[in-house]
Amino acid sequence: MNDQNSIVEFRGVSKVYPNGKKALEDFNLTVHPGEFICFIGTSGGGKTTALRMINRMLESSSGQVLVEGKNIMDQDPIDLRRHIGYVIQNIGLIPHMTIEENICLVPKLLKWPAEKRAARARELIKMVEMPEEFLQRYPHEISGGQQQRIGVIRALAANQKIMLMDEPFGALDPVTRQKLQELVHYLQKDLKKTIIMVTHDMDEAISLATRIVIFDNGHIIQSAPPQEILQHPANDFVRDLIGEERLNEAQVTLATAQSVMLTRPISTTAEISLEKALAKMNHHHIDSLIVVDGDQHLIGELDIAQVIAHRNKLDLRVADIMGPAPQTVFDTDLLSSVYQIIIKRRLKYMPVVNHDRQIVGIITRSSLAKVLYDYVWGQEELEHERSDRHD
Amino acid sequence: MKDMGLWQQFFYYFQHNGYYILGKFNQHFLISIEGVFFAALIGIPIGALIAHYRRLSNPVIQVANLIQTIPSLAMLSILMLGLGLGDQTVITTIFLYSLLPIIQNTYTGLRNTSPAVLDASKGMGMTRWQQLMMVEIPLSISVIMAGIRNALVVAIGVTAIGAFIGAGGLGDIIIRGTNATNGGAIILAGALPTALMAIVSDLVLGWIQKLFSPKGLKE
Repeated sequence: MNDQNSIVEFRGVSKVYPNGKKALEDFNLTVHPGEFICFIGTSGGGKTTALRMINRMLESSSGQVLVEGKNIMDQDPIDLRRHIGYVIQNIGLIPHMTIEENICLVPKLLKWPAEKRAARARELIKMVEMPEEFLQRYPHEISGGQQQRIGVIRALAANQKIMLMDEPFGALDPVTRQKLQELVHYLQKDLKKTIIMVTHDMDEAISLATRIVIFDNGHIIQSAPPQEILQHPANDFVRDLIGEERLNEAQVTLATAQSVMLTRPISTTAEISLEKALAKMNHHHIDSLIVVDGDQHLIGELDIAQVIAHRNKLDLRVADIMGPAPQTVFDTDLLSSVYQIIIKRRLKYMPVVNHDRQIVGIITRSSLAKVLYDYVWGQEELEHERSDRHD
Repeated sequence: MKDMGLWQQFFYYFQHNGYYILGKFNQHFLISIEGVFFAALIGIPIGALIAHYRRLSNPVIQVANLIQTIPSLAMLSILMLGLGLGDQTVITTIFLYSLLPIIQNTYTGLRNTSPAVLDASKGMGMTRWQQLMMVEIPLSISVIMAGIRNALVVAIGVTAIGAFIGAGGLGDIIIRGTNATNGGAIILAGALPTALMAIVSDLVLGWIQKLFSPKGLKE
């Protein structure tokens, strides 16, 4: 029952340290090729333990870890490690070896011929935009950020498909860190590396990960893409970890049309008379009606201007004069894109449809005002909602 | 001879017995080197072993320490009971004395390898042996060399006393001087080359130590 599409898989893995501390308990996770997984959580939550189990720097107390479908306990740990990139926070360049020797360490262990190693070193140093002369330098002769760049390319020198990173950028200044984040993003996106990274930095996780795995006390609390975690944090622990500020921001940038739309929009069928339609507008204090068929599919729009133009023939049916169906958005669309459309096209409103194209609500300019207001004034209403949900 | 000053006598002795002194010098040096060499041969692996199996480190270093506390003359006499007169006894004594600085420095040097470097080299797939040979020893070679240097200086001193049990070396000349009336110059003829040997070998080993210490390590 191997999941053919997994590159790393944890099956019911537990880790108990000799002192009795449980670092992981019945841990299950499947990582697919090309994913960028960030492990995040409290210290001692088990994330580093889980990471180090993949290349057998630690061994599980029970359960199985599979790499490319094979149980790692059936493999030679030395050989396994040579095929998995490994980057650590303290970089760990070997001080008495030149940059070139450091980069080519694993290829050397794998007994690549010297010319192939040298070519590989030149290719890699070019990739991180460092001059070739640096190959002959020693680690202490280059800056910390440059050292970690070497640390990263060292981990892929032998074309490893999987890269494990244990808080690789924790010790770097923000500018250098960002450059390195761009580098690893490129590795995952363009070189299709599978990256598993332990981090403390939620911003880093959100911007890099395709999936964030949140750890607490040796258990997975939530495992989901960043957007989903921001929109639907599983519990208070996750919410605290993400931080109120980011959640608020996410409410604006990641909110979907559904979360802000007005439900039960005032609609009409095409069969009723203009007179009745006008009465409906008057009753609800609105200047246009959306027209739907029996299945709540949008078929048109009736504007007050059209009614005025036909004010002498109020016995006409809506179907006779209604305009074409206005542009719609899906309820799962991001509010940010909806916002763009409404502002650019100067629309008064947009109907929101579900994936069966049935009307489920509308977004008006005033709903946008409300979202913005909530963001600026600290989410008072959302706070209430939240405490309700907990009760 | 009587009307010459101490230094004149000293130079006179040197002129007339130059080859004899050189021979003793050589013998002295070889005995010292031999003892230290064997100690290094055994001590470095023991140091590496206890750096790995840390639980062994305390007992091993304690035993080496204990050996060190025995006065050299006493040690020579005790060993003489088993090994008899001659240079083997002195070499064995030197061997025992040299163990502590060599084991301890090897242990300290290897233990001081940065954990990050060790973690990275293991995580990249080095075998334990490769880690030792490619990372730990190159990084601690200068500390190990310092231990050997230390041992050799002590060894040269011990060899001088070794003459009492018939090992030869410059100690022979010193003893001859102490036995002769007004033998001050002869004592100097033995003692000064001994001191010179200790100083020069310390300098030379210091230079070698520098030569061996890997480039790329911050001075």
